[in-house]
Amino acid sequence: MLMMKKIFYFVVIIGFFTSCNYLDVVPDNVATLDNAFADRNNTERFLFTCYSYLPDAINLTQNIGFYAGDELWDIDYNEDGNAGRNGIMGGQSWRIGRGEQNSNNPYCNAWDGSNGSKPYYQAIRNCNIFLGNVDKPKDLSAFDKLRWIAETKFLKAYFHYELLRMYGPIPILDVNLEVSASPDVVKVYREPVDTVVAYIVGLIDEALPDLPPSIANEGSELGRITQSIALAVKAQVLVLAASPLFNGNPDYSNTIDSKGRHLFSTSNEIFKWQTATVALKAAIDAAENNGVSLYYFTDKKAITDSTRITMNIRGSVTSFWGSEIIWGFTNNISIGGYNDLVYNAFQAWALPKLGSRTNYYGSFGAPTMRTVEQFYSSNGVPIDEDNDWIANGWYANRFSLSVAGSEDRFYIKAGAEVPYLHLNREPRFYADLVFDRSLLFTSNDKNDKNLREIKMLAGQISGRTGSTNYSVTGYYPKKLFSYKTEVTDVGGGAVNATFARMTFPRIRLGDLYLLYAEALNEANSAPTAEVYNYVDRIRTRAGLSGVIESWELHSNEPSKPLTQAGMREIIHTERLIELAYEGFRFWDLRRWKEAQVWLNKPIRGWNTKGIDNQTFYQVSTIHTRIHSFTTKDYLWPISSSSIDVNKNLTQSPYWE
Amino acid sequence: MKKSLHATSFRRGKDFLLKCELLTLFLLIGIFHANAGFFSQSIPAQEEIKVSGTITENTGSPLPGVNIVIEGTTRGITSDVNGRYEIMADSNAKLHFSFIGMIDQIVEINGRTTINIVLKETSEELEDIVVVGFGKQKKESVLSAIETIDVDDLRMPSSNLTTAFAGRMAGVISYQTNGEPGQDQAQFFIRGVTSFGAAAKKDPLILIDNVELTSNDLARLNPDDIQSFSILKDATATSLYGARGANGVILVMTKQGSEGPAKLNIRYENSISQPTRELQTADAISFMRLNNEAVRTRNPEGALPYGDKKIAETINGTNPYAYPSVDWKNLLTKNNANNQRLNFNLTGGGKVVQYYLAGGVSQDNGILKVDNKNNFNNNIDLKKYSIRSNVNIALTKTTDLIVRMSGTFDDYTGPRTGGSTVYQNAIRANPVMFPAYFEPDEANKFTEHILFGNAGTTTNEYLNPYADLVSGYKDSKQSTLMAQMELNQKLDVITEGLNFRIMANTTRYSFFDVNRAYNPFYYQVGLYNKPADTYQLVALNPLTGTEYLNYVPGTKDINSSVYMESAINYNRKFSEKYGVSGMLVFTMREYLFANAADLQTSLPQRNIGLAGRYTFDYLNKYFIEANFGYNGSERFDVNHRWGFFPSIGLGWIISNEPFWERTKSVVNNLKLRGTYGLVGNDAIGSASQRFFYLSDVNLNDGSKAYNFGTNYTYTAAGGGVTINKYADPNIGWETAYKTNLGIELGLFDKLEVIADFFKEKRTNILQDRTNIPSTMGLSAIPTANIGKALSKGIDISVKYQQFFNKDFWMQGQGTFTYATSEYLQYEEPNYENQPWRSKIGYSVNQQWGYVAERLFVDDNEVQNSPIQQFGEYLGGDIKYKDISGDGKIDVADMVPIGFPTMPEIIYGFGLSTGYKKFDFSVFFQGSARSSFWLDAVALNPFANTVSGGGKGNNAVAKFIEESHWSEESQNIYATWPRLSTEAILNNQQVNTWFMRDGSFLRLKSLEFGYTIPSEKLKLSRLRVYFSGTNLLTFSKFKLWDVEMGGNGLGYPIQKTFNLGIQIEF
Repeated sequence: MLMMKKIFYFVVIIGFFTSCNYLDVVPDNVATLDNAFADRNNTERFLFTCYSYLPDAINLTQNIGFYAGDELWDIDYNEDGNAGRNGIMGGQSWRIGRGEQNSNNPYCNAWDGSNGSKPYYQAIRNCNIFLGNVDKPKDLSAFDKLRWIAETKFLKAYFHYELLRMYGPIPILDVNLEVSASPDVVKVYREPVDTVVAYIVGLIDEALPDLPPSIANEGSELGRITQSIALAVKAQVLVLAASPLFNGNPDYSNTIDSKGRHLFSTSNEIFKWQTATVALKAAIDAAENNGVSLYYFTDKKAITDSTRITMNIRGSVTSFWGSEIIWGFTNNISIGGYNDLVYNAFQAWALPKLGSRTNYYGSFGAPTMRTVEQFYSSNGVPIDEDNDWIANGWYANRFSLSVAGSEDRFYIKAGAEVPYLHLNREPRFYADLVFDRSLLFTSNDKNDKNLREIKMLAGQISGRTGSTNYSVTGYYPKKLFSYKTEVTDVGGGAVNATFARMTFPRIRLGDLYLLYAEALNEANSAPTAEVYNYVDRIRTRAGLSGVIESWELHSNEPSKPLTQAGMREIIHTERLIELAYEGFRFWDLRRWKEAQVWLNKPIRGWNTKGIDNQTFYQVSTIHTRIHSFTTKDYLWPISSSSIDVNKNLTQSPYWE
Repeated sequence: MKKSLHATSFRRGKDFLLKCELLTLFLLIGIFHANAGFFSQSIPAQEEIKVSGTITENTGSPLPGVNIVIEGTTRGITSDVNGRYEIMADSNAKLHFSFIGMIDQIVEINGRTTINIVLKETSEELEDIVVVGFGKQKKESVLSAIETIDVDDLRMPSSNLTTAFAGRMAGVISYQTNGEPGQDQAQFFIRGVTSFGAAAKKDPLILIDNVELTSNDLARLNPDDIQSFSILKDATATSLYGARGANGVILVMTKQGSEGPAKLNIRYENSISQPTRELQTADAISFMRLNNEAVRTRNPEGALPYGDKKIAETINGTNPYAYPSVDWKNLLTKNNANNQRLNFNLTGGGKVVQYYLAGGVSQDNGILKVDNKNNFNNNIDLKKYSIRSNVNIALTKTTDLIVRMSGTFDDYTGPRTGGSTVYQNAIRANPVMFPAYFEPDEANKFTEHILFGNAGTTTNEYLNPYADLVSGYKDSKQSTLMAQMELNQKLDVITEGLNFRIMANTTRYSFFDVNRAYNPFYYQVGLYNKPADTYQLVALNPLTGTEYLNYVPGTKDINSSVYMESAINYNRKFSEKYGVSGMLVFTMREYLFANAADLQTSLPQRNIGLAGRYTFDYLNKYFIEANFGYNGSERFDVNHRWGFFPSIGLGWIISNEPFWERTKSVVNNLKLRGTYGLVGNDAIGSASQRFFYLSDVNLNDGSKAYNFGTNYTYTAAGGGVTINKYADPNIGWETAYKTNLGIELGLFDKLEVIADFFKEKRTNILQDRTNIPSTMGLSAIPTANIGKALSKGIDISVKYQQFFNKDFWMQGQGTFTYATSEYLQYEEPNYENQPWRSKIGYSVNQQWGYVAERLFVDDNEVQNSPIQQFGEYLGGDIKYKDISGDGKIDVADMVPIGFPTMPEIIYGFGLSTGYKKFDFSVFFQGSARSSFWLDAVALNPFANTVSGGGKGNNAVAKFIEESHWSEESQNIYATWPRLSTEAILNNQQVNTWFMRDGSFLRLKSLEFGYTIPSEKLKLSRLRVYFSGTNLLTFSKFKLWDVEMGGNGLGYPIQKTFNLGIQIEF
């Protein structure tokens, strides 16, 4: 018996003692999340990972505003065998602009992170992971740790803001839910807008003290979050909360979730504007104290003031780290296989075709006629209000041809036959747009006496030649490529392209000035001096006189700036002009609840098939929205599959 | 951290030891109990009587020379030439019959005067002994559902054993979808599939000589080498294999040597194989006309691809090179192939060493054509070699050593793309664009290379499958080597019936292939001079074509597994009243492969387990058996690593009850049995999901990098972090709760019926969490043990055997398997309002699709019907039913359609008979309750479905030519919708229009043999036979072999005609 017992133990014990380690096949150093926080270097990677979910401001899909509104337009993918062309650059956001948004498979679906959008909830989850693990690296200094925590908190707030802007009420992901959480726990609810706003603002306030006022080590840290950036975003959030879309919007007064909560505030509260003014002032002060100022072109080139003013405008968006940038876009993104340290894909997208080679160069984003008409006259007032324009019939005949005189010689080839619409406009018109017979100032030009003339009739270099690489409206957004970027034909079908480094601003000072003016105007019953002051700062830089003076002298409604309502209209227009083609219009029209007015109008442009002035300068309709813009389109729909998964989510108002 | 881990595992170890001690105790109690119950019976002396009888083999032929000895004495005689004997003995003595190569029998006289004996060959001892997990049991004491297959039934004229499974084995669902040599493995599942885990192992565990191997290894086994083939179906049979047994177990033991003079067995077969049924296509003229129709019917202004002139000249057969009309299939494939198989085995040995040696060679040829202009063979030529040696050595009286070595080696030469692609490409290539090759024109009179046809402007703009086939070949070699050593020690010294066994095995597998091909030179006709009937060729790729072969390295696959098993066994019968047995077995296995993609998959795969069995029987009537498996898997977290899988079985042989005596002449055997237990499955995830308790984090994800700094150049080196998989320590075993109720019935000693009813609940099925909202922010979809499924069914086998006289015998058999399944719990969105979308209650193989009403009458009806959201469609395209009633056809309108994709019923029946030296057998096999779908993409005429390489234009299947919607005949019930040259997504959805019934009945095999009287030839036996497989098929589906289902355009299933000879020395 004893021996048998021994044998039993032999079997069992051999088995067991081998088994003790036998099943531990995994070596200790398999990469796990712990390794991501092993030391400072790894933790920094994770910090940058959190940054990596920021929408790429120069990606035409991720910066939804570029294409989803009515500012910029592309060649219809149904035309000229261009099927499949959409999606190269801005396909999904443009679908929204075309009126194709749907709840089945929404475009730019940030909620699920699909169809052209980064997954913001994944971004937030990563921020939470970072915050939960940042204590682990032993070689991370206390100072850096505080700063990194503050940056991550800001990013977490920012992703919530992006979602708020799209969806309004959203679930707040303050703490990560366990992966294995039960289905009931994960079925979260949308939180009311005011709750989300308070959460975002609170988070930014938490982050602020530990953020640097400005970047000390610019060589490696420019682009990281500073106090100025955080304050500016906080102000934007508060402005959004105070704006008509979310501040007592009657359209949403019956939007109640399954818990019976109102998801939108039901009454319009002025104090929200007041809160916003305080935040804006703080943001402006912080930026100015750190050396941010409106951009002025200071290059000592021998150019006239006419050209110099346009360069102020172009430089505000395309200069390399211009003075106006509060938050510049620094990420090296890859578009169409190009590692885009110098934004070449972005600039190529905006550039007119300047050489004989077609691929790659030539606009995909054409400014629409509507935005072209919106620029002020040379008197600084809307062209339909300008007494001169009305008296001379320029407005009525704006699409008819005239001849450019010598007073326009810095903008348009003298003697060229162009429509009235292109004459007697404010400098921003010439700064922002390339059009037929317009002149293009580049860094190769020693002065502005003999500038390159752009020819855009069908068959001409920058006009429509093939089925792609032409502007569908007859305009190119000059504002979006650097004047140092040059494309020249070197013969034999080759082009010599030099792309200049530029810095696209996620936030620039001009935006804050105009928001401040807007908020002040709304917070008080009548415009204050501060309101005019901040609008005029923008106008001065654009070579225009002050608001009151301009309207008094040139408008058929001279007293318009004196009332709150009049000033509101002026500020809105000023904002649409100043920030044109930068991706703001789409969001501003929503915020103001003016999208229904504008976005249902057809998209117009010149007849790009025209081979001479008579046929080219015919206004034609390029696109009529597939589904008209209705109340539901102010907010993104949640995909129906997401609703299927979580029935606690209330679908966005009017979507089904 | 590491320290604490060890501490926990040590604690765990103590628990484990404790459990083992308890088990040991359990086992020992059984033995003591049995010992205590042992008592002797005194037998009173009786008078001597004369006992006589005949001794025969089980074939019925008499056995001369059998030793008959009265037990306990030296008195004995031998049987005469007619197998007769006569002996005087005590009426209560025992007679001991023995003969070399036969199993000894000891028979109590019990007062009888006539005792006829049938002796069985040692290799056939399994008639009454059933191979069960880690051991053997007497057939009558087996309580679990174990199907033992007569190895002869698996012998088919095929080099693939698995093709014989369907219908032969009750409880096995099996079907074959490919006929290509080397790829023609049948799919088989024991009692269907219950798990629906996306990457879970669903096929059975395959054990050959107790070692886990692949279905590929099983396919290569030579039936002649198999001693026993068992299928373990229920919990009691499989819970010993706790870790892997949930899907059933196939247990194969190879033959062992037996004492006696050397016996050599040789079998040679030559067979001819040809496709059972192939898709018929329309001729070239119809192709062109229909292509024109397909263009115009969609676009009235579309340019016609074929002008009247081309069609007319082609009809006239003007010049086959200028106006080609190519039957690619005919050009690429032959009607039949010739295959040979030779195998032999040698067995014999003395008291100490017995051996079984076997070897085999087979050659399978494909049915592809070879161009004699090349000096290499691009047809499929698969040669398989196998060798096996099983040697038993009796080291001492109580110690046995068994050494098993085997190797299988494949030498393959074949087309680079594989045979199925050749078949598919034959109907993908345009038949009228260019000929396969040109006869040289004037300018190319001295050109050495083949002038392949093509068109367009670039190298190979269009698919020329002939050029693809003959321009190169693939060589591959595969070898599997297995070495195994087993030591058996009887421990009767300690207590009677105790023995100890230890076994170790290693299996090494390697595979590699190389491709060699030249770049074909392509030509097209530049100018055709009709009056002179001459053409001038234009070279399309004079610079890139090559006349020499290029080499492309292929894949290399190497893996190794090591297996260890040690067991202690106790088995004893106490008096006639009761018997006990106990067993404890410890196993461990490691598997490692060379080509892992990353660190986690490169780590060895390990399993470890302890299993035990305890049986007790009383009076040969009442049986009880308890089993357990206690298994560890490295896949799971420490706390879920070990699974305990117990089972219990009860049995009652009613026919052994005294009260049954009177009915015994009618119902000679009646046994009821039932088992219940748990079995696990740890292979529930994909390779990348291997360690569920570990996260998979990519710390160098370039797409998660971010740049900063003045020049945007500063970034964290290596990129950012992406979580590819979240750690989930809670994931554990998939568990099957199996219930089995069986009845065994024997009638008139001739008919044997075994029926098993089973029910299995599979829980903890690994499933993606579809219920996780995006707001969780997870970057990978987590999985969890959420799913539950139920399967149930019945399997029946019937055997009938009758010897009418010495010369005439007959045997009939049949099996029937019905296995169905349903989702019990499946994480899915809430489909309250669209209940038809929910999977709950449907088979795990159910297909969802759209209900096709008919074809649209016209465009007008299209306008006035719900919008079908799959691209553009017109009159004559398929009209779907709006199930959800929301005015549009989308995913919400998909409903469960048809039968499951895997047959629910597999059955087979056959008859064997012999008269004198002739034998004949026939076997039918059928399948029912399955659906499949015509591949609307691959069948779409004129569309290009070639992936990579030149463009093609699908041929027009004959049935499409005959029945399609056209503007002339607007048949809204035509088989095929309105023609199109492009994919019409609307018609390519899964739908009822293209759904077909997969049921069939086929004459699976037929064999006719003649045994030549051997006396004259100095041979033991010489038999010649003719056999055939897949000779006839009955099915509603006529387009191709129905068993291939939706895969019908691939390499067809073959029917074979076979001539064989079997020699025994």
